[in-house]
Amino acid sequence: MNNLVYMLALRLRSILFPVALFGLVVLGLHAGSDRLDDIAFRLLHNLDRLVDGLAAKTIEVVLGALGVGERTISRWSYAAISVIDLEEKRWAARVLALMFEMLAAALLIWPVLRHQSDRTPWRRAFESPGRIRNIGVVFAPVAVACAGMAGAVVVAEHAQLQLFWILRFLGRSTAGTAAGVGALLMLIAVLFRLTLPAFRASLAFGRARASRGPWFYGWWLAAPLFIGILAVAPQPLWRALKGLGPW
Amino acid sequence: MSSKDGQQRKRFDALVAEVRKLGRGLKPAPSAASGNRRASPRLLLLDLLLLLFVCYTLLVGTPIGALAQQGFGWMTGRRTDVRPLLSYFSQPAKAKFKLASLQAALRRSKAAGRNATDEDTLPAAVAFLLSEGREEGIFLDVRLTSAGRKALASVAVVWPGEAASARQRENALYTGLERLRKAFGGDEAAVAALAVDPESLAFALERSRTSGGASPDSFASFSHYLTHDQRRAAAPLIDAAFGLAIGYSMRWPIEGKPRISSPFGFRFHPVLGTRKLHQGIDFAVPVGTPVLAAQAGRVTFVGEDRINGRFLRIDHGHGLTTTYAHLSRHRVARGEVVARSQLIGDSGNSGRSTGPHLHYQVEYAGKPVDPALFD
Repeated sequence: MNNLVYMLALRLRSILFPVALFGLVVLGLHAGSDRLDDIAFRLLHNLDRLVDGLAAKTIEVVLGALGVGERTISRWSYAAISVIDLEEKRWAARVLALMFEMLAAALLIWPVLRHQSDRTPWRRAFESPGRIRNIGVVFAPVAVACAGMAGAVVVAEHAQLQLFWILRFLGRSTAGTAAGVGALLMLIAVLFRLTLPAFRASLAFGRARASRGPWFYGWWLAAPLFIGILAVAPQPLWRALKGLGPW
Repeated sequence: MSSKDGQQRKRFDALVAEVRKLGRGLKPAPSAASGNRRASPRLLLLDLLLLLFVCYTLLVGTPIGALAQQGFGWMTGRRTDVRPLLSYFSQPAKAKFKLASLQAALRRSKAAGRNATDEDTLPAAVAFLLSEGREEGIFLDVRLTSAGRKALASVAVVWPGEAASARQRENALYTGLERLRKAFGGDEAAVAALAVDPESLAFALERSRTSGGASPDSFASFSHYLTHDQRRAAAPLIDAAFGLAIGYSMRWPIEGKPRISSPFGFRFHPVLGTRKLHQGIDFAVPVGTPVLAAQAGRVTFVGEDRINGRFLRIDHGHGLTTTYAHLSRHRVARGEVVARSQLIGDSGNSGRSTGPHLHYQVEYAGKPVDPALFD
């Protein structure tokens, strides 16, 4: 009976492991794309201004050449440049961030879902690839490591809140300390049990890809997001780490 | 050993080396693979708990998790209470309180003859929001949830029962809010206490102050340490209460009593000649008239386009923003924090304009509101 339970638990772990690895990466990606929409909004606004200027100038020149009156030109150019307002740009920036998050997650899902427990030894993952045939060897593991670390912090913060909520009958001081210790342990456990295997799986996967298939181009698309995460994450990540723990 | 044996030996060694080289590309034998070692049951249990928790966090905290929940609901034919995908992004301001409710509260406050001073704008706003909304004079019948009553009890304010008058209930709320402000060290925390368990709120404030940042006592910072349900309970009340409180103490952006050349609402557009919603108020003022900030806030945009001419936008927090358009000159830079009544620009005639005027626009939760409501 014990053996059956053990085997069932092993089986459940083998099913959940890739899903959790993917989940961890997605949590990290979301932390990055949450900041991406602000950047996207500024880009869209500047682009809109440029297009507005061009459209207004074109209408003015074309209608002016046709001998149309000043008032009509003004009406047409006003209608053309007021098609997209601030609210539309805000919405579009959010949609862009969401799409980018989905795309990056779709690109990273394959290596981590193919992860086979511990069957990829570190030694082999780090063996020299000879020549780099696929850019995925470089970008994907870095991306997964960054997203995995950010994801680990998100999971630890969530654990801290849930622990405090469960233990609050012990009083704020005791429950707060226990939640802080629990969050730190969770952070360490997630980093070692999930972030490292996700990194390893991605490293091994990138090494195994030999041809320049869709994945090759996919990594290129995913790269900017991770560079973005790297650029914007350190300060909030550091602040988040200060917020964890019993201090 | 003969030379022939030596050659055979070398060939054999080369073959062995080749096989070993090839063997590196193969999967190790199952018995040698670390994955097949018998894992300790404790480690297995820990792994399972960890994996389940990560999957749960994924489901409740990301748009992809929301999609998964929706997919599951669709497959099983159940209704799911999942947030819209775009609501997982925090920018811009997350004012969730309905605009219609804010407008109704403002109208009620006007009908009740409430002329709030700077000191009591927040309690007045909270009282109006928690009242049942009957326009029955100055006294409004404030109703508190069990969380609110618990919060007041934590600062030794007993909530008057049904037998008490509406005035007594309002006074209890005013006293309670003042004590909560002192207990938690901030206005936003005091209002949040009416919707969130006090212990959890104190914990969130403590964590927020430990992690630092520019304003750890603001809801934007400490709500990070509240659970999703707690955030969802407190955010609408805080946004609405502060939106209303900020609105109460707003001023006109022009000194004195300027003439309104075009009010808020539908009108025939002077350029287009069609019926369009005029999203703000136009003040007929000469070029160069000083334009003042209607309320304290941060300048989020300073720029120029073909419609608005030179314009700037100030974010007053809690979803409330003001825009000042057709200026001749900006007096502030993007990111600058401005005080109420501070000089921010000079009025002008830039952009699509038929004459010198200031276009003043107030937005709540991204939607234009009649500025006259905040007069």
